[in-house]
Amino acid sequence: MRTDDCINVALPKGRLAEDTIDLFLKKGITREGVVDFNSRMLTFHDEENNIKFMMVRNMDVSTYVKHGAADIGVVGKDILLESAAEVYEYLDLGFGYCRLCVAGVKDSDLSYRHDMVVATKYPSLTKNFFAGKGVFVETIKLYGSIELSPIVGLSDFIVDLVSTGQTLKKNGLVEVETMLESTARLIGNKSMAKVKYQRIREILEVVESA
Amino acid sequence: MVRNMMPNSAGNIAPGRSVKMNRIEKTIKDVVKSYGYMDIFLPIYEYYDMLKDTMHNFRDENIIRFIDRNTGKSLVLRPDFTPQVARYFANYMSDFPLPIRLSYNGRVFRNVDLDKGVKSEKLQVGAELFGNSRLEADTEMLLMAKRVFAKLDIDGCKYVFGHSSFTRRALELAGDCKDEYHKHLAAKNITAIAEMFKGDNDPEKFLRHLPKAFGGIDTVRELAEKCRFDSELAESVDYIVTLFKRLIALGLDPKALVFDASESAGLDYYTGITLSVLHAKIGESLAVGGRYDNLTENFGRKACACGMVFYVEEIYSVDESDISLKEIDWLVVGSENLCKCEELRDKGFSVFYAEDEKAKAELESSYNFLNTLS
Repeated sequence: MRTDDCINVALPKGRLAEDTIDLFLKKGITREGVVDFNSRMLTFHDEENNIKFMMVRNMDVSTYVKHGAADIGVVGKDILLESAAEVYEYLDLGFGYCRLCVAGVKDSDLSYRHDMVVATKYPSLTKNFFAGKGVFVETIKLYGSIELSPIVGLSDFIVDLVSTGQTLKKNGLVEVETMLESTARLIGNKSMAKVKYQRIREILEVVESA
Repeated sequence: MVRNMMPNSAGNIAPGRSVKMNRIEKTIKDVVKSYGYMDIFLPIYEYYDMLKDTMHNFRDENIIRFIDRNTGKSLVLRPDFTPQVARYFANYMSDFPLPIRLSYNGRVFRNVDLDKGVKSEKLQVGAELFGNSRLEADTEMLLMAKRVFAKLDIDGCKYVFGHSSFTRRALELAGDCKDEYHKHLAAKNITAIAEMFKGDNDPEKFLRHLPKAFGGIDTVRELAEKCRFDSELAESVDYIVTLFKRLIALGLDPKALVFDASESAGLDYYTGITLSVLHAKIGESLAVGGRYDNLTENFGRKACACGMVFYVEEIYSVDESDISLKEIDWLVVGSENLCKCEELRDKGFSVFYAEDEKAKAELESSYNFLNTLS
């Protein structure tokens, strides 16, 4: 239920949500024991601080925020760019670092050419990246196990998130280059920023302060 | 199969919902009329060439376009009323004295992304005021909005102002980084702007502060302090202060007034204040408006102008009024009672006639009849 001054926060299930809650605890935005990551619940209400957290898929955070179902949210820069959502991007939270990389099959020709096929969860970013290099590519949108695609001949390259590079290596792939470095961003609904300006500005101030 | 064929994002409005939509539309029209606005009817499609230079936020991706088979030119389903109203004012009302007040209502059309939960049609009621002095006219837009929401019993609206001249001047201060600053300011990207301007001088401190400068009258006062170094900025902020004071004197709740110093949409369109009416229950605006003194010149008559448009569907979604959705005064059953129907209608009642007594129970469960005659 949306009320006038309760702040609704959309968080992506997983590490980013945990890091955000740690940050919010440290800054006194919420208190201990509100969010239980081991439960299957999707919403958590901190009545004392009048703030609610909702756990959603990372790709969906900006949708909840865009429509105002959440006033603010936390999402990776990679996803924010891919979704091109019309939301405010207040702060770079610094955590949740990851790289979006181009990778290909080890010991194969890794030079780019026109009309190659790239499999990715990020078709829009991928198209723009290669267009910037003057290379026309076809993209195939996949939802998981992207590494499989060049091995079985579905694509020539992949664009995917890389942390340690172990998954690539285990599947016989090598990194070609980094496309984007991403960190977590605090985003906000454009209308709610103004409707709930006092609380939103308070949160921005404490998060921004060192 | 054509049974349930419908274009993507097109919508029907169910009978119950329509009662409330009509009520909202009528309330807005009545309020607008009470300020002396004259209704005009406008075409549902327009030439692409007419709209492309005269419409706020006109982008190929946002319009529904087709071809005129006679001229081969592109036509667009009306995405906005304002250019049409401005054209009407400029071309067909030269014998009317200024100020001129025109109103309209109807649907606008836009191309929307699939599965985003938005429809391609929007029902609007709007009002445009041509040739009136700045503060008076801007105030009138807001009073009209206030009256509409009071009549509809919708509490908790926030009236959010921007000032396009103020924002344009701020962008000028960013110098060579103007475009980058504009992009980050539109996203209120505090981190990126702090990276851009690290200096300790007044302009840089001001540019860093701007993405955080949204709030009530205190925010405006704080901003006035921070932009004293530049007379153009100070003039715009003073205008907002004067407007707020005037609105408060006219009975607006000070807590409902908000200024967003980094509002930077439509900077090539708006020339003065912009206004959105927002509500905590919905992420979209209930109404938007602003001043656009350069628009009518495109149609050959220069005049200052401002306008306000109300979004009926969005208002519907925050309107909690209890209205009996399918209320009908009389259910009359049986052919022997047919002449009674007209008598009742003559007396001003709404009458639902059904021939068959057997259908009565089913009808009574689907509608809310106040009286029954069978």
